[in-house]
Amino acid sequence: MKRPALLLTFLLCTVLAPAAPPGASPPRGIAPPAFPPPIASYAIDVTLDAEAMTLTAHETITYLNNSAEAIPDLVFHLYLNAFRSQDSFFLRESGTVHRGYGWDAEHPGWIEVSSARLGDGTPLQVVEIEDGTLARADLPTPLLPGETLTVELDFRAGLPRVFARTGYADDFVMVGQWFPKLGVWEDGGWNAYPFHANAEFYADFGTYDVAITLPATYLTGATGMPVNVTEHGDGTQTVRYRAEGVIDFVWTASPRFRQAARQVDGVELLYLYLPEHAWSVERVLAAAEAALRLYSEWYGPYPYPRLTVVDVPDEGEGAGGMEYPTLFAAGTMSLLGLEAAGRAGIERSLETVVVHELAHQWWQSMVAFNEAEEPWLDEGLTDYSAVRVMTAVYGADTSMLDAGGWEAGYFDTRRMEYMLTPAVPMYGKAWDFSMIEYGIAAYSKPVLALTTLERILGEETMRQILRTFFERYRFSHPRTEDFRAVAEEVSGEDLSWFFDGLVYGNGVVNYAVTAIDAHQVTVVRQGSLVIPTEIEVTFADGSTLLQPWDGQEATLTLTYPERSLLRAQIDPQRKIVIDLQWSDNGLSRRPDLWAWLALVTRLLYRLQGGLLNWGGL
Amino acid sequence: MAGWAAFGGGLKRATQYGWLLVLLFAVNLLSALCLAALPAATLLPAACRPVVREAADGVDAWLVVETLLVPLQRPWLTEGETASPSGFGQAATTALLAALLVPVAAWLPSSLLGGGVLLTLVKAPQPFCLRRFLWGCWHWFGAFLLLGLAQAGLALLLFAAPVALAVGLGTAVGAWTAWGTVPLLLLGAAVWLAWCELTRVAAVAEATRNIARAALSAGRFLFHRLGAVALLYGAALALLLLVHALFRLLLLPLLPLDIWPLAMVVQQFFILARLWTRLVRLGGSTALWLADRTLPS
Repeated sequence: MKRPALLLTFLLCTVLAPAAPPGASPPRGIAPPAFPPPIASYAIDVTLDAEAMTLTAHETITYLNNSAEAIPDLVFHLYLNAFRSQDSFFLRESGTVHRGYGWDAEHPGWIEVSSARLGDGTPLQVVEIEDGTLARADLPTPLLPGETLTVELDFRAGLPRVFARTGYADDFVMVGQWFPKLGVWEDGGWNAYPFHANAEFYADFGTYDVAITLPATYLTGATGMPVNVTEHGDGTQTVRYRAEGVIDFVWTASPRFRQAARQVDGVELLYLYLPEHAWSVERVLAAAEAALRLYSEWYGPYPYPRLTVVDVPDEGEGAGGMEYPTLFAAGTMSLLGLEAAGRAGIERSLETVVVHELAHQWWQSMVAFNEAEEPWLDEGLTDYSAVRVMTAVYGADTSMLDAGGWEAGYFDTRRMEYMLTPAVPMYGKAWDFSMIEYGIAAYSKPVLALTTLERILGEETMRQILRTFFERYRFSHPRTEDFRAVAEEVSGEDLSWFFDGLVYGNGVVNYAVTAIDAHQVTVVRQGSLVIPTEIEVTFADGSTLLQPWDGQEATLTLTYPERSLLRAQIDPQRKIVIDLQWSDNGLSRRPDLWAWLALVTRLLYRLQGGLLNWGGL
Repeated sequence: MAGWAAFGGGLKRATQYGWLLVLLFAVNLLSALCLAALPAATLLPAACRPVVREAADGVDAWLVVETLLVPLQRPWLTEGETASPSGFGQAATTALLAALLVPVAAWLPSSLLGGGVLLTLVKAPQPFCLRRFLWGCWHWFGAFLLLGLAQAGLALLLFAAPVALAVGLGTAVGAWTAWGTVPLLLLGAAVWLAWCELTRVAAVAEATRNIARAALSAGRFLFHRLGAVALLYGAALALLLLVHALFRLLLLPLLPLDIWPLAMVVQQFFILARLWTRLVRLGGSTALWLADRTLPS
């Protein structure tokens, strides 16, 4: 017997249970994290002026030169300067619009370093370079291999009205990419690019110790765990967070935040939400819990004690859908533009965003790709993982839209996007792509390509590849070729068709059966992409034959002089999901009139209904 | 006569004139068959594609996407031998064309049959007479054609501005305004449709082909008997919703799409039921009109 009242009480208690109090120790039940030695660590004291929406901060960077070269200078990112004026690369490339949200010239973002010195007091001259989103400081003496230096910086920053992931909306702040942050020293130089519109981020692992002073009424969320809260008695508080083994630090705050939490296998799952979005609590936590469990099972455990999901206000949706270490911004926006359907759960953008951003904890936060140079790796592996979770939890046909007969899977939406502009390589620097191409190259095509790889190699092999890749490169910066090496090693196969054809190449493929008669069948490969496949031939006596085809020749004719053919089907198990047309993959000598009549009668019924709807008879 | 009594009269008339129902169903089916002929023919090549069986079991999103986007892919597929099209694209195009022709296909036969149907209902309880039915069809055909055109034009003029205003309000103020504007628009549309139907009833009941006179007469009737008309149309709507609910909630989930003959029979019974509810409404309107005209002044 159901007991709705008790059930409701239980759900409310579960959902609205308070998060761990500040200073709580990491929950039991998880193995102590084995984080790598920090390369770039940051201790920051920052104060938020909640009226002016400005930050005043003191930053101490501790940097270890773990390379074999002496480092003569330091290069910092000053990301907020991308939103300072229309002259920045970011705003020129984006046309001052990012993900459909416009930059507000009246409320720009900016950052300026007022002083810099080494730990011993030696002053440093910090000079802005490029468009002001980078700055360089020459060191008085090069930093030798194995040596550590400390840099002290004072800086001020202005938060933009929410734009491109960061800023404020009324009393809500999402403070991302907000502090002077070192590039990555590799191959004898600093890998640090100006902030481009399509590009994301790249940084070394380190420990962050950040003390945030802000109005006492604000509830905060941030990378890592809260260490303590100090009330100053003047209406302000200082909340101190600490995070180890991370590549970035983000924080958010709002006096209107509410919190809900649950424990998932020893990890505290915390959701900071706004009261107007209380309806999203159960759905966000359920999606996050499922994803956290599945990713941990598939790839490896989530090693941090807390994972924070942040809701964003409707007027600050530009801050949503963004990943940071141990925290990500979700938001209740509808990707299909169907707000009411999203709220009713008919359309699952809410869950999709949660599941996608959560996958970045593995493919970006722990396996820290260079998102600017190889965006396909982090977004591609993430979105492929997200499609798998959405399919597993919400169904292959209903994971995106489930409206009484009108159904669509998340995978279907990615295939549709790919089919709009398929001739794009996955590999390339973020700024080499137009906005549309970037979406295809980094998201849609990798989903289809990796799913094709999975179906050809087998689900277990694919999972083993990703698990091995994760274990081998956790807390480091692998490249495409590292992924290739792991994939070929684990599968034991030459995967040139995947890497040369799909990752580096822009070829497309459509396999089709073009002709069939009693003893002969003709198949073609359209497009330059060659993927080995199979042809299933069915004979009149009902027997079948599976014939491998390497796809090298554009046309292949199979002849069976002794037997009578009935049907031929290329890729019968539909492994090559990147095939542009599945519907022409098979051909039969005899039309399936039963199925044809089924479709015709259905059309007839629709037309009859239409005639009635239009007032006819 | 009250609305309830008129609804009862409609039920009685719809039950009495089974032949009317058969005729209406035949015309509906024939019109739909004419519209479906071209798409069905263009779909025939696709019947040689094994994927047609999947489509027959229920069209998946991927097939819809593929069918719609095939034309966009031609630039990418220049290499290799040109594959023969699967047939789904052409079938989808012709089906879309057929769907676009539905309003016209609905207007012509309903204009033709309207006079005969209403004349039969007006003459109730006299038995069905084919000759009278055909005379009625022919007599009011031109008038009802014109009436249909005029009503479509007027509807555009009358509703374009309020709909635009409602959309504008929703965009500027907030989607919540739809809670006020949508019911108002629906109420307006219901009154408009009732007036259109009563104009036809008035034309036949008063034996006139003067559309303006019939419309004025219907307008006056609607104004004076608004309560009864509302009750009658409300009851007819409830009956239609009941038929829909029975079909969509009870029968449709159990319907095996792959056994298309069974599915077709059930679907045709549903169409028949919808036509019957329409006949009930028309019979009710006629009964209400005639009762009003026979009352002592």
